[in-house]
Amino acid sequence: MRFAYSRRTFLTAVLLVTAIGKVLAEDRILELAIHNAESPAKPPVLSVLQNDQVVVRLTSDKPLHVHLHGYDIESDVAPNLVTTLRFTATATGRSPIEIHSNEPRKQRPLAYLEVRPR
Amino acid sequence: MTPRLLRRRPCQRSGAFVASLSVLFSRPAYGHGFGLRYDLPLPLVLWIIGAASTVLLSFLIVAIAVRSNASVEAPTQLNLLRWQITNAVTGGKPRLIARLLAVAALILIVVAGIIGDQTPTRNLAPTAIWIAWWVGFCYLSAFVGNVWSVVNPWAAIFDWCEQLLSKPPASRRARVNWPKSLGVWPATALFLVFAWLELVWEGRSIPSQLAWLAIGFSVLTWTGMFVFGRSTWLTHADPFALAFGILSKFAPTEICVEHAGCDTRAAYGGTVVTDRGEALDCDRCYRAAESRRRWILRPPGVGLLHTENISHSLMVFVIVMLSTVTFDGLMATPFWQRIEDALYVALPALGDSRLAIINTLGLLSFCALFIAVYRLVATLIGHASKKRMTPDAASRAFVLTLVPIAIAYLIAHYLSYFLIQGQLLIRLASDPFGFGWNIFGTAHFRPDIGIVGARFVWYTSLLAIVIGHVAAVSLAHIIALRSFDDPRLAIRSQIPMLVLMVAYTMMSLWIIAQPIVE
Repeated sequence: MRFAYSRRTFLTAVLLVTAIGKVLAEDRILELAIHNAESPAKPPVLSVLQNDQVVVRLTSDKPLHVHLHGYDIESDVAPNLVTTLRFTATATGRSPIEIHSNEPRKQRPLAYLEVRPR
Repeated sequence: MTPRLLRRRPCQRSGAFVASLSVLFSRPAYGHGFGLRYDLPLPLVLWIIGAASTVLLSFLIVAIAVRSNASVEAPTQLNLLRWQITNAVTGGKPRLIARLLAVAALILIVVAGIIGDQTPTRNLAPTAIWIAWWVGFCYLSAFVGNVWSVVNPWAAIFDWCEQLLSKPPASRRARVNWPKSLGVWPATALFLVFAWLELVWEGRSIPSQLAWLAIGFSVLTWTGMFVFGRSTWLTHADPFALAFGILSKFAPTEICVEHAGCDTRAAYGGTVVTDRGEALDCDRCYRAAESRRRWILRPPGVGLLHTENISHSLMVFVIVMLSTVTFDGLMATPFWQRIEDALYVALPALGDSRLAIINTLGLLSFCALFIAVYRLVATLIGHASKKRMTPDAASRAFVLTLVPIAIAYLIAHYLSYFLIQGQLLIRLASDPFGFGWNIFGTAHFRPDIGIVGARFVWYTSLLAIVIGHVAAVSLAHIIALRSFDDPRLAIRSQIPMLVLMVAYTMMSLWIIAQPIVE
């Protein structure tokens, strides 16, 4: 039951926050899989602490362009390749990661990055 | 560029920056005027502290008020112009320079909007209008004084034209008398239009559209000033002169000018009229009689006790102003997002402009709700005062006491936005038209989103909201004591107002405790 719910929730975007070992305790890895250039109905929130090393790994079945606001990091995402955004979360705040497109319709962010103070 | 800023952009794609920005703004972004906000929601524990102290302090103030029935003394005032230095600063020449700068800024913004690059962040107009002018002058008005009335470029241009064209410069009298029944309704309507433009209109971040709006507003303002008289227009129809004037009643300074040698004096049967800084309207009197000018330093908030001239329409103006500011915050909450989504799905018949229609209706109903609730509170005050005050009189007497809560909310809601998005001006100063200039060498400045940390924003917001609430409750208490000779009755009559203020403050707290959704 729980599995079915998770699958439905993360049908369009899969969020995996993994802490790898004690040595890399401050590395936060976010994996974001985008299907059909669509945002999930409820964008996941990646919560990290200030000065964490953040790695966002993006995959998509279509070519697109993503933008993390605030930190102002953007990148093209090629289909079937892992695109990595790597940065130190120096500033606190909540910034959306969005797909940039020419479509005039309002689109939800892919995810939110929340950097909380330590 | 500092190494820290460099590290923020590790991607290879910096060349696509300009191109992608234009793409970013091609889609409608609903919310406040322009630009994103990065605030973290207020943590639960701070929310509880804020809510608890709001209620506790309200009771404390009332409890102290019950015991003291001393009459309210006139607050101490200090005329800052007693010193030569302040006289020099506020004299004719510095004022002329300030006005020239304001006029130059207006012209620069309009020209930039029309001929400049149409990418919102590469053109001076959107940032200058929404962040520097609107938010900036709200803060200046509330915490310094009515600076707008001194520098208002539209008034300055009108003054200069009048001085040039009419010899002798005498025609300050209106060509058409302002109908009494009109009150400040035109300003109220224009303020609603402005709020709609700020919160709902899709073109609000498009430089050329903003420039044309400014031109339209100029034509309207000058026509109105010409027909009805400059000061009548500023005090009855100009939404900004009125809004900044109301916020500046809270401010610690006030400029007063006595009309001694102009038509205003004649219109009042030869008696000297003091302009309490609402529209520092008499350029000639301001320059002519330095001894008739006062620049008063006073405790913050006491200006809000001057409730004599509050008309019914001005009361509505104040409530509309407060409600649109709060609606701005509400629109960015998940709560409003859910309503918007539900209506979006439910009303497919409205077509592509659904979101705009939903938000327009939201804005109007929110205003109507605020007015209705305030009206109800006024009725309750009238009832509690044993009919010594009519609901209408109560609504006019107490409306300004809500202003500190609104100012506190302006801090909580806009401070980090102002400090972060305002940094764009550093870049735009070097390249106002987006032509690739670099006049001051700052064209490549990148805003530092870490300029204020989340903790600083949280504590400032919380402190501002609690202090604003205390100021509001205290002011309402002073007005109640002044209005009713019986202190017990004064306390009783204040209870509905107190409930309203606690609710209003809680709402401000609730909004900043919500995650911001764009």
